Amino acid sequence: MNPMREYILGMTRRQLFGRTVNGVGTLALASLLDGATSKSVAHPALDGFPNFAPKAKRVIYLHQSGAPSQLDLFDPKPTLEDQFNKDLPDSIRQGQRLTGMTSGQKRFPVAPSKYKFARHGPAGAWFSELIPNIASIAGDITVIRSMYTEAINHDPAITFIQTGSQIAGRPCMGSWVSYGLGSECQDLPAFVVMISRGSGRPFDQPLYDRLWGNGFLPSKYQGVKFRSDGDPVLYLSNPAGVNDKVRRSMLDDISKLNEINLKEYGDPEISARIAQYEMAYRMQASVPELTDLSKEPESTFAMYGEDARRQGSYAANCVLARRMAERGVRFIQLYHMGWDHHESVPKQLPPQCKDTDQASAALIKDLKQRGMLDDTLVIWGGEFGRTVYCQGTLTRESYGRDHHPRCYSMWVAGGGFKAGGSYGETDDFSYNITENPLHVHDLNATIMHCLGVEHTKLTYRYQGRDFRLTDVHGSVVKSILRG
Amino acid sequence: MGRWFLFLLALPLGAATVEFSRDIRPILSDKCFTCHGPDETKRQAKLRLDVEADAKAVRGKKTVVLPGKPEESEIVKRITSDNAAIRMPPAYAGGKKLTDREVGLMREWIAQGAKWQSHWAFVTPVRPAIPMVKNRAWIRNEIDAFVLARLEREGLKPSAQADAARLLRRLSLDLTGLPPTPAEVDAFLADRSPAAYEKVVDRLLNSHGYGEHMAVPWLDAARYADTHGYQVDPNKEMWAWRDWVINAFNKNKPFDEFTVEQLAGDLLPNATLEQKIATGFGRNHRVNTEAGSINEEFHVENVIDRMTTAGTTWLGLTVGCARCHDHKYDPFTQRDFYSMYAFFNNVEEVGTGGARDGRGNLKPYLKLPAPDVEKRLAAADAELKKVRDELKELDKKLEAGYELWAASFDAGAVKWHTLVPSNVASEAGVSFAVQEDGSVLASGALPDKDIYTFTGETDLTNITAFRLELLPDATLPGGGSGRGKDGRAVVTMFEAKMDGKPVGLQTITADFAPEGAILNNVVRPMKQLKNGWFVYPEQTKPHFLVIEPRKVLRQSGTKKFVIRLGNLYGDAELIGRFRLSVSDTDFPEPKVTKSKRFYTSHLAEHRVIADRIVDLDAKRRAIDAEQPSTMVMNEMSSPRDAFVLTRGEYDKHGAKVTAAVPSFLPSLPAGVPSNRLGLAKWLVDPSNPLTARVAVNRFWQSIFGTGLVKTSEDFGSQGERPSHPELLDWLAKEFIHSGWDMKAVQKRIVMSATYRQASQATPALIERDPENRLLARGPRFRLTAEEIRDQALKVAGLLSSKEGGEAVKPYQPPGVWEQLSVVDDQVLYVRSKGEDLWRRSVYTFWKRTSPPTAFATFDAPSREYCVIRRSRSTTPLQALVLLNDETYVEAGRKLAERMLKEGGKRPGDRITYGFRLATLRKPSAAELTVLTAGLERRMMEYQANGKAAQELLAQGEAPRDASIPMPELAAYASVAQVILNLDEVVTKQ
Repeated sequence: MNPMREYILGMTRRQLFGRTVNGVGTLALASLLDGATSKSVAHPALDGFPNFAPKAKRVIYLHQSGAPSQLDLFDPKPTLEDQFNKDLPDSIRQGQRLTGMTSGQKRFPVAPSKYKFARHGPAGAWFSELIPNIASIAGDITVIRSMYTEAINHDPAITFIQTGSQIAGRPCMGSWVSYGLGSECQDLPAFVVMISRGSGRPFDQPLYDRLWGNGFLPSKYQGVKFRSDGDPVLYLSNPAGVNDKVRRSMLDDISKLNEINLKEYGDPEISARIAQYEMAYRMQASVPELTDLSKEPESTFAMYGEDARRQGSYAANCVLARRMAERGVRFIQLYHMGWDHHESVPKQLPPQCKDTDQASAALIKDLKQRGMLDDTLVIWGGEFGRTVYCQGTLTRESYGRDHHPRCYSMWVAGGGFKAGGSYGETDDFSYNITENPLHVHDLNATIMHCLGVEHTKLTYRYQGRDFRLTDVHGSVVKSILRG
Repeated sequence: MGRWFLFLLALPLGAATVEFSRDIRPILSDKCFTCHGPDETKRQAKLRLDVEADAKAVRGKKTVVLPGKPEESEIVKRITSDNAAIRMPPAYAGGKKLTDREVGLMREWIAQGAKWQSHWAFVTPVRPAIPMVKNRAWIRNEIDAFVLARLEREGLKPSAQADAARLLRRLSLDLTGLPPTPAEVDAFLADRSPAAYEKVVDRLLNSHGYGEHMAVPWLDAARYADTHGYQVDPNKEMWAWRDWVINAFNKNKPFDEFTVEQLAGDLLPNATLEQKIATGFGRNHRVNTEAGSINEEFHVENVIDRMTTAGTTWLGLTVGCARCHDHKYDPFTQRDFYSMYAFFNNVEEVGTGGARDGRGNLKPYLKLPAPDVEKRLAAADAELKKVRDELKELDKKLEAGYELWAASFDAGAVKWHTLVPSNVASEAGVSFAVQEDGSVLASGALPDKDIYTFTGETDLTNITAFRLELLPDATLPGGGSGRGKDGRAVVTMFEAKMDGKPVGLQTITADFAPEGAILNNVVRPMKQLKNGWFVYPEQTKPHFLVIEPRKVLRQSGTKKFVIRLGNLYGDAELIGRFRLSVSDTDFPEPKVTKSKRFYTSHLAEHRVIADRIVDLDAKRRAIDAEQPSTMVMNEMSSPRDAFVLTRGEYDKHGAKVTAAVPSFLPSLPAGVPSNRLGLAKWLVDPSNPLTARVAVNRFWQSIFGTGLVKTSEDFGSQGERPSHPELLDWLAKEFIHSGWDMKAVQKRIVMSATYRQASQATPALIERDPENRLLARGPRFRLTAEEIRDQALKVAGLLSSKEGGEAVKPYQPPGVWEQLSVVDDQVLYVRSKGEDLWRRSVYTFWKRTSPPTAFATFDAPSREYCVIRRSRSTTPLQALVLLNDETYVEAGRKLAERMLKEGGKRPGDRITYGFRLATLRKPSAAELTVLTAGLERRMMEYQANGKAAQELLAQGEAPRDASIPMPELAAYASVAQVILNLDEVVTKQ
């Protein structure tokens, strides 16, 4: 799809709308905006999309920012017990590059996980004792233990997994999806972002607007950030001293005057603006209704945890994610910060798990009980993994882990993915992948596939080239999908 | 037959010949070059279709392109074949089939002799003849001849001239980014001289606002911002460069000098300070200062960014593709890429930044002249060195006592002096009782959160530490030391004042701190995270926290301490029983380290001098930070080695390369050095086919909304062909001929009849030419983020005329930066004060990972990378900004004051006045009726609800005119905001 084509589609739609306005006059406009024509406000899918029947209608992406340790959560290596404080064999490390934080270390001593693991679910995937609730949904998810990426530092790596490029400037996955598949709802954005801070390492890592940025796509496809303090969406509330009556009266005036201008100038952009003011007005009602958890029953908080009552917590964001999914938001992106545990995994990892374990599992259970898990794709994971060798002081009880892009674990659920087992294997040190490597581009291609999108077809021409989320790479991995 | 007919229809009117550049190359580029183009590694069947000789070569029994014989040409056979194994582009490789029209064009081109042309943009333009037109009366200058010739070919007529008021508004917005005043419009209307319009053009081109307006798209291209852009996104400072750009536009610096100074000002003979500042263009790129980043990796990224930005800005080429492989569409090889790269590779810089100066800048930087600061800095440095040497000497002496101390020190023997409280106060009604042991027991009200304020006195001198004990008590839940569940408490803050002055606190240690406790938070509380020290699960045992002041408190006599203890965690986890004490011991911490360094650094004698160093160092840093700096380029004495990087990866060196310009463009002019200076001179050499075209196209784009070449960032073979190729070339030649006079080329554009057309359109014209590429009407499109804000400020009478200097932070909703960032002073958005709230938007602080929120909503880029063309969208979020952002609520209020004070006595006059300030025309009767009725409705509302009026008017820091009754002002403010929200007002029409 090229931008010109998209422009023409948009113009045709607006022209139609514009002429309708010209033709039927003021009175009819208001009713049109309330009813059928407002469909022209929320953007539709591109022609030909989805390319085939989708399994998933929407995505909830639970990004664990900072990189959770696969060795302490999903990828047990019991034989490492005997390797404690021994040097990581060169045959395993193979001279791979290291970050500047540990490249100066004289030794790379092996740090076995101090946590107990057990198998759960029909196919016996492994989970550590830190995430009992996620273990309890083992039957509904697939743990991917063979993820790998190309970047070794947070900023490039998180930019890579979200946009398919380490360098700033490409659209993120949510923008691609909302561009290709359009919006399902009339009074909420198609692509929403929510952020929570972790208790494990509350100072780290920062996030960047580009992670939900539209890159070279039109800016209407950028993610709308929801906030826990102040307005849930920036500038949503009327200013103090402006009640609904005053606001409606102002909007009516704006609309009438814009129609007069439209009659004179005939520019479809004017009708587009009239419509957007009405959508803004609808959002002022629909967003507060969405973010108000006070009417959620007690059972919700029992399920997601008491933390869900605290605005801005990961648990509260998970409840919101479910509410957004119910209301037709296409792409719901969560970020939970605080997983970057260089110094002390045993000090910092448990509080992170406490923040996220119950609510992540509750979200899956909740979607399932509402019959929404089949067409909602949920993804949980970070931007890379962590090293088996210790960064900093090593004891049985305390160890730190550096960044490790060569293998890590994520999990996926619903939306066409298989459930109940795990995918991929790593070597005895969780250092290299030994079976079914899954590159970030492959995961992204597979996610798009679940949404009914052939990842090579959703392109946008910019600077003379057809760009796509997966750059010139990516293969759909059918073996992790349901038949 | 039907097919042929269709394709002939598709050709431009009057174009009987198929032109390679216009009709054929785009097809080859889009459908064939991927496998049969410039990229050698991907080339199939050793065939390249971007080279004439190759395409026409006899290959065995076949010829791909056989001039005059389409049906014998292999290319026609292949593109028309029904056999999937033969058909090109191959379906098995996902190739797109050629359309009937494309096949028809190919056949006709070969039939006409298959005449080859180089890609138009890579051929030096020649000055085209001015075309003949029928309607000569319409023509004001050469531009119109080119535009009208095309319109006449298309059978279209130009529109009438826009009415004077709207035209003047358009002109003023285009040249200064600001609307004119009604008085300026009146003066224009009154001026009957033939040169009236031109006089206004000249006045606007010579106003300071011109440079401020012109700078914005240049800052987008140069990816100018106030932070480094990666990860924690620390601040940098480049405003001296930004001001250089504004001044360069205002002084009408010729574009060739403008180019040379920004790319190589440092290499000019006897370079001036200004010329060096100009080179900041090449240092505006992001720098990844994230811990653990690999230097070489980011050095490569930075150089590539510097080089591709220059390539896009001056050459309009998307050279980035050739980073990993030969360009797929343009004859730009990977070797060309790294040869260009070599020009930019020799700045004395560190890939991941290295040390930052007091202003956040990375080497190389220039300290801006500040003689007084420099003198004081040298003095501070000398003094620091002296004291540091003194301390070193002392430590050597002190070490003698270490062995004895290490053998005998007993932590239990440290003496603490209880601070007996004279008062303890709660912010939330908690009661306190002082116990016999000097401790304080809380009871009574049980709020969720509280702050205790403790007051006490002591005569102790040389205080080295405070101690806060949490003591269990039977009256507290579970016999713990706190008032929360199971006797829990969380201490979230410890602040001390001595005799009214804050005590700087530094080290914090505890005898016990479980996982999850964040001691640092107690002395450096964070807005985002109310957490701190707690002792769960040991809350039934006494525990203590030791907090050391940054400097020993040496004052003698009685001192009064006021200590604030934060209980802000929530869940009523308040301190239950506590005791505060002070000590003058050398070793107050709960644990000592048996090392010489630990020992000497704790001794009083050492601390006396160490404290002086702390003071001197702070003083030095404060002096250093006073001196502004700006990042610049310089050149290493011998260039760094440069290599082709395999797949673009920083550590995969291929062949070594030296600096060279791409082989498909003219070579370096004779006599220039083979460095950045030579490159810059090459860019502005009249033989360069791209630079002038790319520059004038951008001027055209900013005025008409779309460039003559729509893809203003891509003039390569995948870019769009110009809508008016001769006009583009004529403007480019004229630009060079005029001595690269930027104001002259813009003046010529706005003087044209083409520009002065009205922008009203009939449905038929919109259908025919939705994007107005044929220019049968004047430009009409939404203003930029900056223009919308600046206009509102000006209309409201708020706009500051202060020029240049440090970036400012106008209104932004609280918490935007804080939500994303790690905790650090730089993440707090500290709003500017006074006039700085209303400066022109070009001066707004630009944080790359969180760009100004309202600007981003109106399509401003993040400034992380070069952007030549902003997108223009219409979204509901924009409506929310204009209706609810404090900026616009305040602007509405101030505009209302003007309406009431300057607009006359009758509501109709006042509304007309406000409407005219924003649109520069009088409202029609119908418009006035709508606005007046709205005023009346809301006047009733605010008269009935005085509190609402007061609340509305309290927003924004601009003072309110107290002489106007509030309900009236509020109602008018709502009308003013309606006006500021009109499509006409946020649009240039």
